[in-house]
Amino acid sequence: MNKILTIAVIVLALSAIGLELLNIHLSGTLASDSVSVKKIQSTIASLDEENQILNSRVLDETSFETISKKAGQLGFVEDHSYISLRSQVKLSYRQ
Amino acid sequence: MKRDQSRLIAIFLAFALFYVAILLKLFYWQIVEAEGLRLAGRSQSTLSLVTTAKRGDILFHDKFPLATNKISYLLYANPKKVDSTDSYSKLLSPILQVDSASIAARLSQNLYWVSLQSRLNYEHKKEIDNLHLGALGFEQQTERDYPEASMAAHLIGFVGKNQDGEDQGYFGIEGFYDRQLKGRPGSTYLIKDALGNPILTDVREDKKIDGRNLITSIDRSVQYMADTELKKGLEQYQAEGASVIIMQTKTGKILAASSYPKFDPQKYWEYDGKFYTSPIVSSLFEPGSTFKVLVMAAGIDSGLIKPDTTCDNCAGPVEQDGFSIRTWNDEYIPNINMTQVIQHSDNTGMVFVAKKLGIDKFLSYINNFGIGTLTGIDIQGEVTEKLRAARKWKDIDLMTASFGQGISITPIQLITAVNAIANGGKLMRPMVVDKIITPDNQAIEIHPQIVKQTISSATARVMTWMMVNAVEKGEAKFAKIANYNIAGKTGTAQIPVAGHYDPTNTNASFIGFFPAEDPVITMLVVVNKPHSSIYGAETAAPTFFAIARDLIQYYNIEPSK
Repeated sequence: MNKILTIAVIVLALSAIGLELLNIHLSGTLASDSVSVKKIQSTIASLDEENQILNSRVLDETSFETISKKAGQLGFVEDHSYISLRSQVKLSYRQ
Repeated sequence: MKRDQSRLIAIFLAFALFYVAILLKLFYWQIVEAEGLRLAGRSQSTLSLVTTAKRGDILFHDKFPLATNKISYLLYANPKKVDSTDSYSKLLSPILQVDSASIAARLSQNLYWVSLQSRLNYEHKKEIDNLHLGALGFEQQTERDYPEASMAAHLIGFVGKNQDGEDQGYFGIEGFYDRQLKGRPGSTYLIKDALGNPILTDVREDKKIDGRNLITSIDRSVQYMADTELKKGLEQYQAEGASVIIMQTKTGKILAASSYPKFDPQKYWEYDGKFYTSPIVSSLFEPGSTFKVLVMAAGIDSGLIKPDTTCDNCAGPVEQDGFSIRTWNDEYIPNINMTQVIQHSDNTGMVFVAKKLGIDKFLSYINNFGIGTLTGIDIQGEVTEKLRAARKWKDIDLMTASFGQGISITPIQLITAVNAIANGGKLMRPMVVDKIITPDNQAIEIHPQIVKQTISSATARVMTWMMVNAVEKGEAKFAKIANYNIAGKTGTAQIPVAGHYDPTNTNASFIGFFPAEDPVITMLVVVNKPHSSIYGAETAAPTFFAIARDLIQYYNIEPSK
């Protein structure tokens, strides 16, 4: 009887130690995963930042204000002649 | 025995007191101090991140942004870590475009954190990064971006700060739709380890709700054309200001609206507050002769006059209450008919119509056209002047109002009312936002709204052709577009100043719609205090037709004849 009890106590003690070690291991893994996640999050944030900056640049470059300025610099001028749907329409021409 | 009992009682009481003390202490910690301890515990073990909601975009009809968000940076420094104030300030000065003495003064403060400049763009940030100055740091910020700059400034409004330091939309669409655009910030709570790294076991989150995007009816190309031509007109006619509104006739949707002088919503703080309000909804003006079409429509619709009815008081000036009502050129055509009254913009002819109508019918029709009430346009800052009660009107008031003097309206009220004539008598609510897009991509459509039937469709047709006649044979005929039937009316209104009219300045305007057979575009051009000529026919009308020409090409509108 005593022997059975002793074995049971030892098994329980070993299980407790084992489970505690497992807990420590898993917590450690979780913590290191958190560090990886943090790194990934910061990469995502920096890519998102770059994406937004590029998007702003695209919007600036494709705005009518910019396009008309650049067209002017390239020598294009507006066609102010009378417009008729029966003849070909010149939208702009180069001086 | 008794002594033992006393001892037991004493021990019992001691234990009882001990437990009571524990209970009291527990009560103190768990009830009295509970909230403070909970917060202290949370701050030690949890990481709380506030996630700001993204402000919704305002988009043109082609979904190009009118207003969106962009990243900028706040540059800060830790003065305690600055080894040489002199070298820091000299290096930063050319990039920040701030004199080095100001930078040096900030860096010399006995503080751990000082802000050096906000709203830095990415290029400047990179330049500063490359200097490798250890005491500097950046904080990412989000700011409102207007890619088309001030092209539609008055329509958009701007985003400023409220008294709590939070972003808030002011004026225009930003102001009107602020609650839809701003969304709701969220919070994330993470359990952190001793080093501050998050542990993924317990993440609680109050999700942020991003603002809704707004798709407007504003057509980018039309807005650009209108804005460019208006600016040209402003310079050519040496005017103090000018506005244009282009409306889709059948729906009341605003396709473009622009006003000068304008401000840059990106740098709104550099402008005086008077530039923020949109003149199209916030500026009351006496419309002058453009108002005649509404009064004439009222006369025809009530059956009191017809286009060929002749005027019996048009042979000379009309005398009333000691005032003499004259035509704009002091020329008089006896027995002029109503079509010619509009064509020649004859004030005495309008007095004839007003007399026929009487004050009650006049007010009833003007009310029906929406004069005196807000149009309900979805732009912040709309104003109106309430119409006086009928008993407060004198005969002279009615007469002058018949040709648009002594009555104040906003440009949006005028175009909305005249649009009713173009639209078979149906008064539409003017609108700018077409669709609201929720963060989960659901589209909420805003449908055009018929406010009321103001005049019969037959009257509307008659008025349309009277206005076509005014364009074909009236004062602005030199500017008209060949092969297209355009209905229109010029206006040259005197400006009231301190109880009398300004003898030198006018507000010149032109309102019209086309093609007359089946109108698709209604447009109003107002030129404030032009100096090259005071007349609408010589200032607002050419601008109107210049824009109309572009629109005819853009919308591929077929010629009428």
